[in-house]
Amino acid sequence: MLVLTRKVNESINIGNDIEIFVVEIKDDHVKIGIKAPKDVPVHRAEVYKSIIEENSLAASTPEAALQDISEILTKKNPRKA
Amino acid sequence: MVKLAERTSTKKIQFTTTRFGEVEIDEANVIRFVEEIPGFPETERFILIPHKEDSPFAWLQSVDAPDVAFVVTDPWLFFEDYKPTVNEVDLEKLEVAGKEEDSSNEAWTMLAILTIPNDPKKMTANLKAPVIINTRNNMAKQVILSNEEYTTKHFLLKKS
Repeated sequence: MLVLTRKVNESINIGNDIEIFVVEIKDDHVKIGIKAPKDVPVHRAEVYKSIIEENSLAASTPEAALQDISEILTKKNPRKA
Repeated sequence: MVKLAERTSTKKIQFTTTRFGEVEIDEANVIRFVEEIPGFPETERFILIPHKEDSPFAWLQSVDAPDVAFVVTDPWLFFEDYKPTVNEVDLEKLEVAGKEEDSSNEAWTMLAILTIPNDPKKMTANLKAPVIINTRNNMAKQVILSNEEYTTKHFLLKKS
């Protein structure tokens, strides 16, 4: 991994059209600005990981689970059943 | 009720599922993901199976992987104030961006994927990454919203 030292307001180019700025440093938080083409998805790394985890959990729902849910909804919340 | 318009063509496809056994449907009703669902690179074709006539839920069942099926719902049935901000590029990939009439609600539908744990009262909806389906050509994508206020776990039922 390439490691570079930057000060506030300095930036790094990645390729021709992506630029990463150090906007603010406060205690142990770094505020980062990203200029990138709109077709380049930019997300906090943990977001994508959490979506993979949640999808894996969701995909293994047994068929019977939905039956239980329907019963709960009918009893508790007839409006939404 | 979560349902797409029924389409017909001449070709029927048959496949096996672990939850619903053998399924035969008209190929015109297959939903194709233009990008892989994160964590599921092996399957791009799905079908929507309504749970019951009066149910707010449906199954998004994989055509390619028999054991992969997600429970989905219309997020606004449970989260009236849901205001997803969808990336323009995602809408372009689904061919629902551009002309104003294409961005109307009729051109696409949004579904939230649910996670149902052993205690079903604790089921959650993934409001951070909903599925968008172009209702005219059945192209779909699980998008990641830029909204910071949404996560992958929102409880559907309030404690009572």
